[in-house]
Amino acid sequence: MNDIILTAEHITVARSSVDLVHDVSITVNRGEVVAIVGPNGAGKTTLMKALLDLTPTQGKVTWAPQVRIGYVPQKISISASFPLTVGELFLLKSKKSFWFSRADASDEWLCRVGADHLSHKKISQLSGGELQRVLIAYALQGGVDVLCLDEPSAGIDIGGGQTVYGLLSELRSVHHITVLLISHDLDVVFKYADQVLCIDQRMICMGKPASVLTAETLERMYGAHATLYPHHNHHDHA
Amino acid sequence: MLEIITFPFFQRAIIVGSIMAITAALLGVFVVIRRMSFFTDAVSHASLAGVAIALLVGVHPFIGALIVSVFVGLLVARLQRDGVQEVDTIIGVIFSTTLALGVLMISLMQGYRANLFQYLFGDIIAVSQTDVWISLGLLVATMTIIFFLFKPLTKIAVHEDMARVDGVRVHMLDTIFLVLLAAVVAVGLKVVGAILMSALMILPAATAQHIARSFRGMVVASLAVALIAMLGGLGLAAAFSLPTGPAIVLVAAALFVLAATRGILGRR
Repeated sequence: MNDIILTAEHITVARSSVDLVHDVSITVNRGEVVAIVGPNGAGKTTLMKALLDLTPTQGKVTWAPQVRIGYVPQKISISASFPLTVGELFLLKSKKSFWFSRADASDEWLCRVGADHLSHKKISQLSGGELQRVLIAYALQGGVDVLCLDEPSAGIDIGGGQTVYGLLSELRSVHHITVLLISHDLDVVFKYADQVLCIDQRMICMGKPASVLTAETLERMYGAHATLYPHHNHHDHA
Repeated sequence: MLEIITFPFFQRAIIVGSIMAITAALLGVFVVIRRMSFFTDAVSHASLAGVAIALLVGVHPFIGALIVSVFVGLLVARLQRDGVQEVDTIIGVIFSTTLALGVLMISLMQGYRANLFQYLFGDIIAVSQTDVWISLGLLVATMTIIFFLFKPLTKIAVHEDMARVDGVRVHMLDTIFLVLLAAVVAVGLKVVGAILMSALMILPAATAQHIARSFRGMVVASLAVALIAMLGGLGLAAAFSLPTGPAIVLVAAALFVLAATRGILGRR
């Protein structure tokens, strides 16, 4: 029997009497990578925020007891004149003193994402890819059971995206960390996700990518022009 | 000119001014990194209405300024959370209304009209021994609270939702911060007045941003700039018989211009 880490039942998020997310239910097993997909404005970010108790929500969200969660939002807008360095950022979560500890001591996760050389750099001066790697390492700092990522490859180059998704693969296979991932990239979903949840305000489908990401489902989500193109490397693409 | 330093009123001004400079600069760091400068304007301008109400009902102006500042701060925060209207519009309406109300009420009071200028622009030379103790108590309270809340407050400045997922109670900390801010504004009324109070908070931190290479550096530089501006401003005011509040703020502004110019030139 699978070890359930998250159960969300009948989640509805409404703003000004408009449902941004309507009656979505989801069950996530420990160690799974679950991708949330849907068109722009489908309520993917809102759903993730609802699961993290970041927005007023109807329905029931139940996490496994004592679960530790890391979260990387789609974007953070740190002012260019906020001089917080990467090393200082990691001191914020550490038990070490902010004032009397070395801010250049590399964190284990910072090394793992290949960003340990950035500890002296200001957060506001990082490139999109560097920032994404630093934020993932920051979310993982201290050990987590679940990592929630909102479009981790948005705004970064191909190399940066590969590093992020390589890390995703490692998180699942080596560290058995459950990953909740919002992505527009169906190739990534096919490659890394164990389950996919398709929404367009309402729940469209949930299951293994190969079973539920059919031409019919894609048409319901993205319109009649969306279809699947099989590649020769045995991964399907949309 | 140096003789003035031997006078107790000037010594009190130096003590209260230095304490206020450090306290305001410490909070100012968070005001600036969280982009709450306009918010500080609303709270400080609203404090004048608090002074007027306090004078009307016969309590210490500090109490009135504190209560109204806290109320206005919480009101703005609530309206912002509820998304009633754009936050700069809400603040613009509230701060101009409360300032107008304060000025009008004080102007209409018999015998207090002369004090209006003092509350608007401050008069640090007029601080009493009680003011010394109040500001010292405020400094100790602020230092203690900021010491314990430094990491969570900084996490909120990085990203509110990330901080929440980390277990930071954002609303509670925002409320504590707001009360501290209002208390500093209320005490600062005598030092630089309602109009210039936000400058005492914002200018040192804004200057430090141009100098510092890290956040720790920014905090330290901000405290140093605030102290230099306070003591420099007091010195200039004493030497040239200038009003103290504007003199302090103008020294702080001059330091800001220097640092910003250096920063801009350094980037070229």
